[in-house]
Amino acid sequence: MGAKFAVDMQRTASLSLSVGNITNPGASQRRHRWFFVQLGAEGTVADNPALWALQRCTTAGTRTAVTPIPLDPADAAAVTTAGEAHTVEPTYTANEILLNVPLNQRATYQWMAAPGGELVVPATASAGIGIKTPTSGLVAVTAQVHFEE
Amino acid sequence: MGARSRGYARIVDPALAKPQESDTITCGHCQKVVHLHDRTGKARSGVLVHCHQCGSQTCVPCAETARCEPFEKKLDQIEARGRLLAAIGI
Repeated sequence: MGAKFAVDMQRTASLSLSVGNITNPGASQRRHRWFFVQLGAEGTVADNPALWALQRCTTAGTRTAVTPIPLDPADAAAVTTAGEAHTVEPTYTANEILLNVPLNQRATYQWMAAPGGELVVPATASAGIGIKTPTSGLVAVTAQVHFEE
Repeated sequence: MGARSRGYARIVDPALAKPQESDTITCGHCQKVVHLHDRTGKARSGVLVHCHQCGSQTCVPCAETARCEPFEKKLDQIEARGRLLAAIGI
């Protein structure tokens, strides 16, 4: 059983730019598995629709780095990297959307994988999964992901 | 990666009296997360297909290809390609 980590990704949502992603480094990659995802908005309560999407990507894009936090404080730092609030999009793989969630801004979505049903990222350079939400601007959104590597 | 056991998803919306809940399955071929209940809590029929070759449960689009391509096999192929590209310096 590998080490487990939490990543919190935030941004003021955009119609075209990702909330964040979790990707392999350029070298010494290892498979990682997403087993918990939480999506929501922390802005002022309002009725705005959003379509969240988790999609595979092959590059990290340009982003603000986020350090994965070990769920067990005794674990070493993660090899896998993460980032939020992209200014340049990752390269998304067409037709590789793993999860689509139409969600009102007032609502929060949580998904927990069954053992063996985690979302697995291959151990290749810069491979990962990105989180997109094409919402109206100025809506602050947060995605929380727990993964194992 | 049979993914026979079920995951769990829920939407908490203050406009609703209780959370909307659904069991989920991760497709054994493409890893798409399939929700097994609709937003009223009613079970959705016809959203899963059993693959008789690898024994996994798959989403309908994967089943319609009529090919068995377990995701674990795809992972191995992707990683082998990555190692090859790294070895030749690409």
